[in-house]
Amino acid sequence: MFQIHIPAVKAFSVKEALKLIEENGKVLNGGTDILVIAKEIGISAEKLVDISGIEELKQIEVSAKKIVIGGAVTIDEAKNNPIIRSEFPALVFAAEQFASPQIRNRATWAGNIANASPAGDGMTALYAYDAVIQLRSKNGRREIPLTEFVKGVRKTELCEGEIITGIILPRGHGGEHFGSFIKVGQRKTLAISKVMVAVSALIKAGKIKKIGIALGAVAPVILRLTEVEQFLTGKKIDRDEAVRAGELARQAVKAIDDIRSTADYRKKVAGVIVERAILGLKSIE
Amino acid sequence: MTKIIGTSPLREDARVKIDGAAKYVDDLSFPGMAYAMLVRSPFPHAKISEIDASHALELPEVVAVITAKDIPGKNKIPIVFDDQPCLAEDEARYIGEPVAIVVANDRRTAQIAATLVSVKYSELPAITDPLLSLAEGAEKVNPVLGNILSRHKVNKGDVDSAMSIADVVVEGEYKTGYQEHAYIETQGVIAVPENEGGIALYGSMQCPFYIHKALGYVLGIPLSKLRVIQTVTGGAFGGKEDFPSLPATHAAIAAYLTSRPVKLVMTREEDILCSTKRHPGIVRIKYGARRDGTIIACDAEYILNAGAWSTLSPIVLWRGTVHSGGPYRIENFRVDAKAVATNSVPNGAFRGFGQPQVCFANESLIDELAVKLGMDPVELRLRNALDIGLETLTNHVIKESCGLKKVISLVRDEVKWLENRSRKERVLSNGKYYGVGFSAAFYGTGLGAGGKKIDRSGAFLQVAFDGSVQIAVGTTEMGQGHNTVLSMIAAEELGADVKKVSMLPIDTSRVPDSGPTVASRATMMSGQAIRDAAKQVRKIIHDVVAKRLGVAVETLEFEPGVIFSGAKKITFEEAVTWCFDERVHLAAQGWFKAPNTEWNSENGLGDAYYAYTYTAIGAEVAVDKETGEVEVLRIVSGHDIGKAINRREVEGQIQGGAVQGMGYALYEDLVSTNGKIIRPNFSGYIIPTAADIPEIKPVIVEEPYEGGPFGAKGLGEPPLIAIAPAIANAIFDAIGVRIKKLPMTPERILETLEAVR
Repeated sequence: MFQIHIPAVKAFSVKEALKLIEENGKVLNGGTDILVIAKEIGISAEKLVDISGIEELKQIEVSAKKIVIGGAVTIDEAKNNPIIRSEFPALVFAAEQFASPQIRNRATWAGNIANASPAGDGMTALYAYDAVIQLRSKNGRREIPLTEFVKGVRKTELCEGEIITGIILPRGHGGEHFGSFIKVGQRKTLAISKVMVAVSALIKAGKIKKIGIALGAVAPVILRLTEVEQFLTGKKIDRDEAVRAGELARQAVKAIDDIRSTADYRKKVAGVIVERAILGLKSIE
Repeated sequence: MTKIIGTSPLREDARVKIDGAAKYVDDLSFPGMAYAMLVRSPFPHAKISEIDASHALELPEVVAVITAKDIPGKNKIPIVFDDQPCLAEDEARYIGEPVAIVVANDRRTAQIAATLVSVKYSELPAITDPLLSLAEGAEKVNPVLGNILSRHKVNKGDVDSAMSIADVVVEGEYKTGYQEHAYIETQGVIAVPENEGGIALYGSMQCPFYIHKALGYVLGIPLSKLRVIQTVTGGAFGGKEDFPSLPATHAAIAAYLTSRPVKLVMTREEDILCSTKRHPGIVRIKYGARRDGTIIACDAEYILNAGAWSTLSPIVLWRGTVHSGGPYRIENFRVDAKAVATNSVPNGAFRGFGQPQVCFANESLIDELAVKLGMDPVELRLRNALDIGLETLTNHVIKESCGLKKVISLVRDEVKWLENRSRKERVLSNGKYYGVGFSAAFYGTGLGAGGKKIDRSGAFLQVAFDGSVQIAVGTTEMGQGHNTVLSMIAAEELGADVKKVSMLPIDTSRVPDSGPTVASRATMMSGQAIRDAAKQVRKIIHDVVAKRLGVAVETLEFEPGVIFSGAKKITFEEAVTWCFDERVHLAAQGWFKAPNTEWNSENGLGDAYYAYTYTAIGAEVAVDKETGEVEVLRIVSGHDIGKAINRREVEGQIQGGAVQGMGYALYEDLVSTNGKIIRPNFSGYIIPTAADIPEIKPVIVEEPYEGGPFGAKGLGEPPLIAIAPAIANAIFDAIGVRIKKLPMTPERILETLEAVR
């Protein structure tokens, strides 16, 4: 039965959380999405299992090739991490525009993925960085690329009894890290995006060595604009190339109509913001 | 010289609202209290053949399920035409219409039980478009009044001839959307059975005496056994004028039938789905002018989508009708206005009350006229502006207190109109296009000829032994500073310290009926009633003081806290002690009746109101031509309000109205498909946040109105009314396209830009 009023229990370790979830529980992380869903349509579970205080999920681990954002790391916490600031600037720019300060202090990166909204600001930035999701259940651990993990609007590969323990971001070397993030909403803050773009770029000697362009809120899933990325790779950033990239993006997008905007608007503006995002690529000092 | 009027004492309710001590209705509970939830129609139009409550009643915590046939009195909500039922009986006529009341021991059970009441509906064809409702042979939407719920016309001079000789004619059709009040506190009430069969109704509201009357209707018991108590009210904006009568009657019937206190607090979704909103409007308007800019004719048609029941639509429509041509002297004026029934949620009162829709149209068209004439739009407004000795659209000759030209000039200067309008470089450093726009409006304060019979106010004032003063009126504090402003008026007139004046909490059994807290009338009407009471009490005090001091009463002078005659001086408190020693009664009733208005309903001409507030708005915007996003950079909002009683409160009203007007202009898009509101919450319905608010510069003009307290006129609504057209005109200035539909979303702006390409 769908429940609007539902009890919550707090877990103190991943092991404990997995056990509680197995007993017909659902994960409560920051709660900024699930509590809204609970209120609007109810939740089919006996209880919520609060994992937001699990110490092992609160870590941001850094190694030579990758960085792992723990499953309970909030949007704001990651934003302040020095490696993320220097190597994943688009994540920081997204975090700065994510909802409101109150929500940024509770919402988590993993939760933004689990919610699987194509309008997720955080997830769009993660798409631009080739994120891989770490999952754990009583049967063991597995890893799956974010692009494969998300299947549609609020649909993911997450299995019963499984939780997201971390998000792996590969570290790029041999260049400077640039990024940008642009969202268009009905108002300046606390608006679900009509269309948004996150761009990650590794730049060497003024040329694009590697680039990731993710477009959010235009289609049922976030889109990686691989044609545009291929077009830009190896090129210098200038106005002409950016304009061309915007045109390519516009052509590539199959947009949808919904309450927040129209397909027509999204397609048009996707091109505009891709162009601006390329021209606006910057690093964080 | 006044000592208190014109200053800015802190709001008396500021602290408790900030520190959380204020008790709103959902903070209150009574022993044995039950909870009510409504069963609501999921269809825009359906026949109700059976209501089966048996499954709901099987839950042990369910107390009762109440339907129309259980209503002890009339199944009617009194507003204007009494067409709306308290509970739908044979047919439901909009999505969300109340069908049954479920009462349970706790809120959760009430929610669950409401889903277990099975109502047998057979869907009927629904009309949700007002134009289809007006079409010949359309199904009757409203069973009592038909599809035209109300119609008003004004016919002055000879519009057709004037149009035919005009040098320039412009016309246009403008559409405006719904607006949701978005008060912080949702609708809520608690009904408590009292001894001897009465009911006390506590709740969040604007107009306790409306509810009082409604309870009498549905319960069929004398009003003397009923009382209505206003709890601290978390915002209203018109949304708590007519609508609370519905939840109040539901809770009262439940309490009456179960003999238990019953709480009914609506969820946000329920509130957005079922409560009244600003009417969507269609305005077709045409101006004819001479080459020199003199407007000689205005012809308008105004259609409001009223929803299924008439609520306050006739009066909302009337206010829009008589203001529809703008604040100008126009010799030939014609308007035909209709409030049309549709199978959608009934609309009602909202700050501006039928004026924002017409103002968006007429003030947009004034700018079009300026373009066609090759004239500066501000010059054009000044040329035609109302002034002393000129007559309004309905032939009301203005005799005093008209600061329209002054407010237009001041706002023009403050917004640096000439300099900004003629800027050569329009592209800002961020690539956006700069534009500046202007608008003007007038607003008849008070109920005017449309609500003449209830335009009066009562007040009570008494002085306690310690020199503190208690005042009582039936108008309400809903966040606008009502109690502080009225306390200031009482203190000034009586000669008391404003800090020692307190407003009695609203209870209809204890406060006089001062009419509704609407139409920007409370400061003016209750202010005058309080002055009347204060003058009487002051005279009683001064008589005693003069006698004791051995001076003639005429020699007495006073300021707040002191009374003196030449060198002799005593404090107000001492004077009060003397009065108690003399056993005089330091209390009085005050009364104020609005000045008469004369109105001819045949041709729609006459003195629609007794006084007007005049407005001019300057708005600066930056428009992103590629994404259609509009950023408001600055708003200058000027109003001739006669007198600013509390300056800070006036500035607050001006700023709050500007923000709400900005939301109406740009963001607030309530999407309704076939009578169903999509996403009834604040993630779907976007209102401005602090981050969107630009600098808002208030400009206050004080052309005193003799009939108002210390010269004051009304201000509650004017700050919202003319914001949208000023922004629309600024957008036109920035990017050269005219947006004729509100809200002016980025999508609409891009579409319009494409269309002209």
